[in-house]
Amino acid sequence: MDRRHSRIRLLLVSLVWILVLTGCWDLREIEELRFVVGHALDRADETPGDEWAAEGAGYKKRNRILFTHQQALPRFMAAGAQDGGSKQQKPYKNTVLTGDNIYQMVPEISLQDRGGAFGQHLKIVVIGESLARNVNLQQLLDIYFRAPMVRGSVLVFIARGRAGETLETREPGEVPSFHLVDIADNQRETTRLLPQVTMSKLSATLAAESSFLLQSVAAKDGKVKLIGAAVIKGKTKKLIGFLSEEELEGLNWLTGQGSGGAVKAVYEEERKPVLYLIDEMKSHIQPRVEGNRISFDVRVEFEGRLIEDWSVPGNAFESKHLEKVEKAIHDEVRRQVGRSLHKIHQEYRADVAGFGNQLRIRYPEVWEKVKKDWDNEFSRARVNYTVKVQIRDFGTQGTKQKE
Amino acid sequence: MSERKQLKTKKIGNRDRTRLSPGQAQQQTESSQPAVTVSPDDFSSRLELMKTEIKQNPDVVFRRFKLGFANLEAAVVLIDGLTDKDLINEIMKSLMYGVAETPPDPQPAAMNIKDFIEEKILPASKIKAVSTVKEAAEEVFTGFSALLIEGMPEILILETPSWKSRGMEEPVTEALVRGPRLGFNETLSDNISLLRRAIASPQLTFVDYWIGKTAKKKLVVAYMDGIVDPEIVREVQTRLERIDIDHVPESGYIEQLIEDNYLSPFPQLQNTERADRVASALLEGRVAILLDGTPFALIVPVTFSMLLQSPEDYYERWFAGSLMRMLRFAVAFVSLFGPSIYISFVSYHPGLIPTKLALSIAGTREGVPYPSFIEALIMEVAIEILREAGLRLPKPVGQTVGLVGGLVIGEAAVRAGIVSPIMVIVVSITAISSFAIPQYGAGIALRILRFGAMFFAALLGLYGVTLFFLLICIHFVKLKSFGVPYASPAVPYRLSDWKDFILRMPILMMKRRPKMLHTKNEVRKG
Repeated sequence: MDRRHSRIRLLLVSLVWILVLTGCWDLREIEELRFVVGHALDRADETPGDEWAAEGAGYKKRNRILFTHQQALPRFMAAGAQDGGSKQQKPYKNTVLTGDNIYQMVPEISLQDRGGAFGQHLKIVVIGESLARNVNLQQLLDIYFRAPMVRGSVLVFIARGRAGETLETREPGEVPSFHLVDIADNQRETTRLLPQVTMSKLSATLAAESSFLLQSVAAKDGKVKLIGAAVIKGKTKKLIGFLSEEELEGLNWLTGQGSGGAVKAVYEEERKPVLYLIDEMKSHIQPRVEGNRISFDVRVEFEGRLIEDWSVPGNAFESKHLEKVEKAIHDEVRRQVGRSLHKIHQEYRADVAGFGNQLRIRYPEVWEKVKKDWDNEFSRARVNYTVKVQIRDFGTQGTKQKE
Repeated sequence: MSERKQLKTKKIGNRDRTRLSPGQAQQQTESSQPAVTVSPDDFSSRLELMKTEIKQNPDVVFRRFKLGFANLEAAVVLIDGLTDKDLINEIMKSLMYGVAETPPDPQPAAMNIKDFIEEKILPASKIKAVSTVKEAAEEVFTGFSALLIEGMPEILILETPSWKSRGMEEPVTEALVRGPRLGFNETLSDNISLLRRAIASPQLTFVDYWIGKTAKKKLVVAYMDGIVDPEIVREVQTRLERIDIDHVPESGYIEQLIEDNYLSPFPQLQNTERADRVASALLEGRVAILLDGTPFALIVPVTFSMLLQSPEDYYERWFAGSLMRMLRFAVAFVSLFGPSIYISFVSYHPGLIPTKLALSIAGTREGVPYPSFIEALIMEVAIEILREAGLRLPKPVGQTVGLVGGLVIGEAAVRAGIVSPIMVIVVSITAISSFAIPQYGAGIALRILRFGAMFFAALLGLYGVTLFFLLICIHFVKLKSFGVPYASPAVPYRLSDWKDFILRMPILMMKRRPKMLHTKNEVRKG
């Protein structure tokens, strides 16, 4: 071994020691973490202030936000919980705090609870109705857009009523945040669900100043349901109202978002119900500009199958019968789409269906002129829509009567 | 120093295949100094000299007799148990009576007697003449017989070795589903004949050496003349000649004495019990080293990918071979980094684990008193103990140890809350992965490095694991085995050699021998 080699070795050894002696500064064992999984934000004026105020707790604040902080308790949700007692234990814990800013309140929890706050597994943020109506969402959620440990995949919901209630459940062994995330994933099953709005998508939409929808959620007796959607005005970035389940469904049909879901219609003459299962939806929005007038032609196309037919014999081998069914479904879809359109077009005067985007693509110079006040401009534009329904398949039943 | 110089000049003079080995050359130069010149007339004193040299051990046989065709005394010196008794009897018979012709001269000159005996009388197939008693004694200890004849200055060495040897069996360490069931045994001549049978070609060349100063052992270097790069053969020979040790019990000694870097955890010579493996390595342009007394042959040069290969990759169709190759690379990765990645995820980057898995890991780790590194260390050491214990014990007991140990580690330790069940899974997958590496030596290397990786993971998380990986890579690209880069064909990059690397391409496509070996004849297939 020559001298040069031994010197290099010495250097290497000392380098390793430098690394070793500095220690494990980032080490935090997984079981010592406080897994934050859900946040709910409400207006604070409905609740009393700090429960520890008598003991001298508190700091300078105006108590504007009621903050529900949900953490998962892994020890009570271990697969096949080893001892029977843990079954009764809720696998989550909600801490309610009041304050003005989220990051002022998060450290408060570290005065009450063990472990290090760990936000990388945050799944949902639910905003209460009254808070969303009064506070600019961009300002409220800025912390989530900014904080590096918050994932872009965090889902955002608007609660009908108090947001804190949606993070409660009576279901044993269930973490409400995960439950909500899982429900929001059911788009293949129903068209009454809004496509998921993640934090990163939301930050883009907010920056674009366009109106948009957020999934709305309601809670009652420890149960939750995703009901319709919340309409957020692009100008004010505040909640202006809700769409009902049916209105949301109509809107989804109009925009061709999602798949699955059934349409129920009734025959004109027979008054018998028939159900149609949507396999594929297509929607095409064609903007038109004539002088100063902007209009839109929407073409909605459905492909699907006959899934239930109460009429007797209801012979699906006859194309005449199928045409009748198609007609009935067509009318129903058209009616529902029209109602939804009316709601956003006339009542809320907010383009939440992406009409503006199509105009931007086709007529960029027109868009440049109107984008400042697009929601108003949109409410003045004419929207024509055509619906085409096709039955591709009627299953293994042709007719209910033998020839 | 002077000895080595002498040795070298000797080498140049003897370039043919049956040249004297370096060991022998050394003996000659040594023994010439005390100048034990044998006086041709004094037969008894020569025999005495022989006896003192051999030191009158109970297994040494001195058999004195008279030649049948001339009134001369003779003696055979041999070791009981190392020689073929029947052959010796045959030789003695022919020396004592069976004379077809009387010699031309009743009192022949010494030279004539030697020629006469060599040519007409001795039925042994290989005869050699040595001039000193010391040399003769050396030969006797390797199973040859020494024949001393009154009035003849040389001592005749007859090739009579024969001893009990193990039959050829299926190699235990490298069992195959498909492939020849024959492995090497402890007898060098058997092993050489096995190779000869596998490669029936005059190009197959054996060069023999005697290794060991105190106790000599025969060693054979095998290569395919006309295929192998002569540079590699020369390198092997120089390194072998440099060996200066009293005794080599096993080829592992040779491996450690001639390897490129003794500090590297990676084996730089491949050892194998399989004749087919050696044969195909020779035909690829590699060199094999066989040592008497061990079934393990050495193959050089070695690349890392060779350690992840099994002969079966080539015997099975290429789909299966390729998939197995990829699996082994994956397995090598798991075996090296399994626990360290787990440690860094659990201790440093819980955000990288899917939420539900993270929560379930956190739940199972609840109540485990140690940080994950200590936990992993306990489990890894326990597995190593279990493996070591199972290896040494007789088979039935070994199974019990495995059972009890597995139960204690798998069940009881988890119940007692010392380790988490997920750690048990990680450690056992890692252990199984290391068993799935076809070369035991490579498995050991990865096992050693695994602990380093765990240490780095515990210190710096994934960043540390990456650092450790880079350190290995740096070492890896610098390492060479007999002039061939260890990481080839990945580094230096040679696309044509990739046909037999991560994938085992169809044999139809492997038309050339590996380029990294610089073979003299590249064409393998038309």
